[in-house]
Amino acid sequence: MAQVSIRNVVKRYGSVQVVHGLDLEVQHNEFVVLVGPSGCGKSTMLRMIAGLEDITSGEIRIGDRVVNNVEPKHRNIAMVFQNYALYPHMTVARNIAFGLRAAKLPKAEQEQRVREAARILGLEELLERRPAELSGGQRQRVAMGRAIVRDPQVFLFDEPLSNLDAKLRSSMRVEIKKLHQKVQTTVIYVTHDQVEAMTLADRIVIMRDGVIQQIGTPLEVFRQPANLFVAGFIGSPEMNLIEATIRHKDGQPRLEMPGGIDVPVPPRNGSGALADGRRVTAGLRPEHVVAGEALAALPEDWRARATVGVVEPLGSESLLMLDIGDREITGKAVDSNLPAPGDRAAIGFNLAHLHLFDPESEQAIY
Amino acid sequence: MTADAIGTGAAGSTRVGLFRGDKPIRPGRIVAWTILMMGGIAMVMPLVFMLSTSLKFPHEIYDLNLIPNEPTLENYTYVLADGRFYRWFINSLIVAIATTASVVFFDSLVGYTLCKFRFKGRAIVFVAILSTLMIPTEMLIIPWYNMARTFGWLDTYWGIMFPGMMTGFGTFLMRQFFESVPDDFIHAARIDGLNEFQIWWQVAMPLVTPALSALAIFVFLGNWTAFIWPLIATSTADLYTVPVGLSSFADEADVAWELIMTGASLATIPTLIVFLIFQRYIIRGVVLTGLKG
Ligand SMILES: Nc1ncnc2c1ncn2[C@@H]1O[C@H](COP(=O)(O)OP(=O)(O)OP(=O)(O)O)[C@@H](O)[C@H]1O
Ligand SMILES: [Mg+2]
Repeated sequence: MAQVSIRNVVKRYGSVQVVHGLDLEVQHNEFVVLVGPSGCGKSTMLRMIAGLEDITSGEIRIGDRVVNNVEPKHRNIAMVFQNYALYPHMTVARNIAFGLRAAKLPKAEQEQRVREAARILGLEELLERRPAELSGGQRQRVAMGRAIVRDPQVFLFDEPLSNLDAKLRSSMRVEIKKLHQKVQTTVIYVTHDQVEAMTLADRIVIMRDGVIQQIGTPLEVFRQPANLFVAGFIGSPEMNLIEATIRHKDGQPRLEMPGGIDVPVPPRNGSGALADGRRVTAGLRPEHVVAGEALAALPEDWRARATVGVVEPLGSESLLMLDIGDREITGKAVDSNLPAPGDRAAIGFNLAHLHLFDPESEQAIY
Repeated sequence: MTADAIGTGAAGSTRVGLFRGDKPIRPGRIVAWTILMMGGIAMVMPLVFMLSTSLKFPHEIYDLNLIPNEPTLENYTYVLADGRFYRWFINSLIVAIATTASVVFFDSLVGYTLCKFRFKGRAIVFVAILSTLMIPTEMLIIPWYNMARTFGWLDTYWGIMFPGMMTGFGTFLMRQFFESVPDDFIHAARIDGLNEFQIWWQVAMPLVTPALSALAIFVFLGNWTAFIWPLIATSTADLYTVPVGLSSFADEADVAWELIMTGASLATIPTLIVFLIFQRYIIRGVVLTGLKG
């Protein structure tokens, strides 16, 4: 069993604190993805779990053991690095066996394990090559091979796919997912790519400036972002975030948005606390700002008009850039008779998916 | 119409071809070549003279002709038959190999530590090492001599070698080269269970072979040709290195140039071998470090 517990972990470099009291429980066999913008402390956190970096305060447990003062090699972990860290002067086989040799495993067992890893990753043909003679994706697989031969309790990945092109990245994503199902270990995976996070994770941990913003399943963080940062970070294209004001009319809260748009706030948990005149930030994902046929499914008073700026066809759907007041928001349309650029078109807001945030605290309030 | 178009197209392409062939030789190039050529001759001439003198009889050495009138290998037979030269040659080899091995080992160890470990005083240590580069050797000879005399190192191999067993320059060079070794390599090795010394030796060192080779060449040549300190540190002919020994061919009465030049010609052989061996690693090393994700 290898759950990982991170309790109130702080990291300081000199006087600069980069991780601020982080708490996280990773279950056995769970695939957890740490995601966040560059410099938010993801790699630092991962290196602390690996033991490559001391922790300033707090506690890290792997299994039942506090590992704060345990050396990396005794933590029973394996790590895959962004630039693969394959030794250029060794063959693929030697690279994969490197940790086993260091651990002085019997030759026969080394070979057997290397062969097994090569089989899982489809590297049998490449064992005698050197890293320079491999493609990016193959190098990536060798790096994973080096990790799996050690049969670790916990796999740590630090942006393993960021050096690959988009197509290879998505196929390697699938391979990593398959690998996880095959080898059944706990995985902590760092990325700044939210698509990678959404597709791979059992749970996502969203970080910003060394602080966890939200922990949840991909759907939870997508559907119920805890704050403005998460709302803007998860989802592509980004959620529309619009400055708005609450106005009560006949006792019901309504949302006044730029461009003279005025829509009701559907009654739900939290809608009662919306005082008249309160400034809020409204969040609606592009797929919930619709035009064309999809309008018919929405109540009459969830509609408005907006000027169409740019139309970006994506194939099965199109993105619409819509001007409301002096703001531009993104909408989506699926049908073929789209409004043309420059049209003053009817649009609809699917307010069942409306998010409201407090502009000061940035927390979700509705 | 079509034929016309093809015609002009063909003419156009010929013209391009012509332009390519006729790249005009710019005057700047001629000047540059001339200067380079003169520089090349200036550098090669002494060597050619050395070789040619070694093939001459004593009476001919002041005729500055490049091709000896009566070429002879007599000087070589003489120098090689004289046991002293072997002795000096071995002495030089011992000194140069030992200092080279020591410098390559310790300079890269210190350079690696200064580059990859964070500790209090790291910057001060580095600056202190750098500042030794600014002290000319001539100023150090007297302190070295006093030190060697106090410890009884005069007239020993150690006495010849000790000032060069580590160099500030090599430490600096290696530190800079270790910057190019990504930390992830070191982290990966640490997770794989290597100790810090193994990481340095098995992972970091193979990645900086070009720098090591360059350093080895410099240090070997420097020690092979060193003259002043070995001259001062030794007084028995048995401990002379080749340069010191050769200079002793010039006694007060008579300078035996042909013998000096013969010894010097023979002495270039190890430097050539060292260069040929390590130069390969420089080239291969560059190929290795050119590897990126
Ligand atoms: N050795 C160090 N000394 C001082 N500050 C450091 C050191 N290593 C990292 N930092 C700082 O810690 C913060 C977090 O760095 P970290 O590498 O964990 O970011 P990250 O989330 O992995 O970013 P990226 O997506 O760019 O890899 C950054 O602000 C960085 O400047
Ligand atoms: Mg990082």
